[in-house]
Amino acid sequence: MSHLSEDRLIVWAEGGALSANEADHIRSCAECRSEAKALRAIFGDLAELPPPPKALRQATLERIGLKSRRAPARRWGYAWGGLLSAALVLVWARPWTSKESVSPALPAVSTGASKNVLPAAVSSAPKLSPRAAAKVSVPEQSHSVPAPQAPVLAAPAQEIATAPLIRPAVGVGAPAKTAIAPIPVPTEATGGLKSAPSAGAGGSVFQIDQVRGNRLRPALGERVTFNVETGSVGNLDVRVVDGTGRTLAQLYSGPAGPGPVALEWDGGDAPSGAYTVRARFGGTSAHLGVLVVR
Amino acid sequence: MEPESDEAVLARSLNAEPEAFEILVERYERRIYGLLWRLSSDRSAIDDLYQQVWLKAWNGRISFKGNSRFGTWLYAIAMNEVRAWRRRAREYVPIEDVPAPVAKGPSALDRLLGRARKEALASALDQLAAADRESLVLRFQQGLDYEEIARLTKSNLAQARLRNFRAIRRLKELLKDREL
Repeated sequence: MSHLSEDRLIVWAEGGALSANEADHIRSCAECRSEAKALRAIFGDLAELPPPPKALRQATLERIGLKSRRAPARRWGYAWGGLLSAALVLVWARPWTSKESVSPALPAVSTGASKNVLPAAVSSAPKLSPRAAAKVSVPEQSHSVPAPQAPVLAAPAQEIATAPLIRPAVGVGAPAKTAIAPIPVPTEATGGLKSAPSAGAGGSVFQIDQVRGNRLRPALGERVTFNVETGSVGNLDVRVVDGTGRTLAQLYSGPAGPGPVALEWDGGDAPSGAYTVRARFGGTSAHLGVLVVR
Repeated sequence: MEPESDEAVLARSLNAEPEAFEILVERYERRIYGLLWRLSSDRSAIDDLYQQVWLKAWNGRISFKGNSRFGTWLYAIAMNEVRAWRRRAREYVPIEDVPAPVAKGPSALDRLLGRARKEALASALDQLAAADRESLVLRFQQGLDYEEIARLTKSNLAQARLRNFRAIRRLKELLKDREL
């Protein structure tokens, strides 16, 4: 029998059932067994579930506006101490009270603690994590009411349908060589980082804009795209340099302008890290950062 | 004695016993935290995301119709939060704090401790398409069956299974590249 297909190995590694022939094969074939065990090891690593920080539950409940049902351990200690004291008092008092059929002097012991049914909106000030607190723009004076939250009325499943999955922004497909060739300028930039306009020699102005995000994942075929806008004719030099100033890619070198030049970089062989796109025009320069993630 | 179902606890939290919701937080805190931990690359964002998930679940609990398990519903909220967070975070990342690239491999000790392998896995997961990553995490970390995964990813059973298989192959390739 030939080796098991990868799909069948996955089924086995997941604990699924194989046919009798397949099961016989995997028992006798060291290669398939080793492959399946490697898969199991990956699945085992994927299963790792780190515990949340201890304070996170409390902070979350407070953010919701709920009081924890569980009092801290120390308070329980006090409660048990109180109960024990009460029991001792009762035992001590019993000889004096046993003769009386009714003991109005003894207070009734309440067994049902009053329930905390306070709605979230009237509970005490929610404690947000520092990051969350920074995001909620509620004046400090209004701590008695938590930041208004839009109720989730639609079922989450519907939300899923509307939530687009993340896709590489540009250039998905066959990896291109480190690009130098200008590409058409997008008619509508989608926002992005801009260098401050730089004044070149002779009053020429230029600036470099990042059309898309500054994170580049070459494995997904992503590219970062730049527009260099020059206000006059001149020599333009655009390159990608690392932290030591070493040039990794020359994106453009030659006469340009007036007008925009669109450039892109696919990351080439650069390892993960931060890089700088440096543009020089008319004796001045501008920089933008790019983060390569491998 | 059978433990009270999640749905029954949720109903209690709607009926004058809001504090019962904490039971659900206790039951699911580790799974939700783990899901966020695997699906978001930014460790500093997890606590906020985690709180957001529970806040949404709390505010939206009245809309829970019981068409799916409570856990599936909660996962859907968590995945929506992660997707929204990715949308917000993906375009621009602060690079000032990123150290310059250094070609340095893990130490022999790291290898022995298996840390390198875990880091390689985390890095490989980062490189997967978001949908592949979600599929793997839901299947192998959260232990969901393909029906639940299909429901959460708006696909059918066959598609969910196929995506998972493809994601495994891709992950394997990425790990092989690292020779770990």
